[in-house]
Amino acid sequence: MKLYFLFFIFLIFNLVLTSAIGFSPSQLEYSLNINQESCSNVTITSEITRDFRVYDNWSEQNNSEWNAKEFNVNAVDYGLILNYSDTLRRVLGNKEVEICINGDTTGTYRGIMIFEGSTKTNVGVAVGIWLKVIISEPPAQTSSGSSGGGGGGGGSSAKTTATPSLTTLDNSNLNTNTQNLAGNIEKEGNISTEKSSGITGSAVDDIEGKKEVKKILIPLIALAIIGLIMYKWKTKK
Amino acid sequence: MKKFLLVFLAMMLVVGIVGIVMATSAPQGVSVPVTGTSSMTISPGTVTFPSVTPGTPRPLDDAITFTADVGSNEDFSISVLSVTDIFSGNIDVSIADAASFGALESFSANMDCITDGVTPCTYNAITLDAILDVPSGTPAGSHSGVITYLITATPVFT
Repeated sequence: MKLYFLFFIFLIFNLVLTSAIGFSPSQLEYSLNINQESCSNVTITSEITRDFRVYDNWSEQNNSEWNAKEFNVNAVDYGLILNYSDTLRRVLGNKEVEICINGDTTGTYRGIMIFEGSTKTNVGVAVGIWLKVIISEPPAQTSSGSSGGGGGGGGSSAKTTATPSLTTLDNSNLNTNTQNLAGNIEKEGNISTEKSSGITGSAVDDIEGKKEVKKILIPLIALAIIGLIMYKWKTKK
Repeated sequence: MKKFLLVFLAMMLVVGIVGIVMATSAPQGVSVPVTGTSSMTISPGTVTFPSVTPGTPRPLDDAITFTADVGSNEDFSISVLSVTDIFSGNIDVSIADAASFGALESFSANMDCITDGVTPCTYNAITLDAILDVPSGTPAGSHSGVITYLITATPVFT
């Protein structure tokens, strides 16, 4: 009886200590204009109550590998400003964390956001979310004389918020991004590991279908007009 | 003139019907990006080496196992973020049954989603054998440190 009890205690102890840690999505991509801030959310999951220390590291510009150990540059060195909670207290279950990024220098930057879980044992776990930030010049204002042209907003930082996604957050060409995303999914469709969210893609084929209809309708209308002319010509005779 | 109008209307009707039929029979494509989710369990939660004699390598009784949890849907990478105390630089590991051991600090492994693209991902667990070899002269007594693993998913940025 005593032995069973001890075994039971051991089992419970082990279950508690071998708890899972999860995250979603595993990567975030930000496509921003200079001084534009954008935010995305990630969800961290822990089966036991843990605190997390949160920090970010960035890769050298000439390094193309996604290897966390070689990500040793500070965000400020690239003119990037990140806003997020640097500690998460008593996380149990799902915890959503917002990561906002803003940059003042054009370029493409690769980073990792590390969520390092506290541990009461000698095995610790950290999870890493890959970050890709593309900072570009704001699109040039097209000054065609039709409208008053008031709202330029050059330096103001438009804040956009997005749910977890691989999609860029550039609000100037959302449609293009949606189509690109759908294209990416098709390219990598053999593995169900796409890192993005949102139901976005259905418009792509719908537009294609309309184009097809237009292609057929135009010759049909032309045919109808020719038919009419011929009919009129025949009746005149 | 009346007859002409009648024929014109009839032809337009035909064109309209053909248009409607074409529009309704156009195939509707469906696509949806699926969010990546990763979750992993590392066991045992506490690694306990039997007592060691400095200068004599001592293997760990139980292997360290990495298991991807059900619901994960991406390729994983596991690496070591940090190792503290006397364990730093003194643990060698080998993926189970592999002949060669290497430093724990430089350990990294991938755990790929096995799927045909539609069925849920399954994974092969990774089992790690470890040997602790503390150098001669290591102070006697109880030592404890922390091995922190870093779990990431394989990036798929375009």
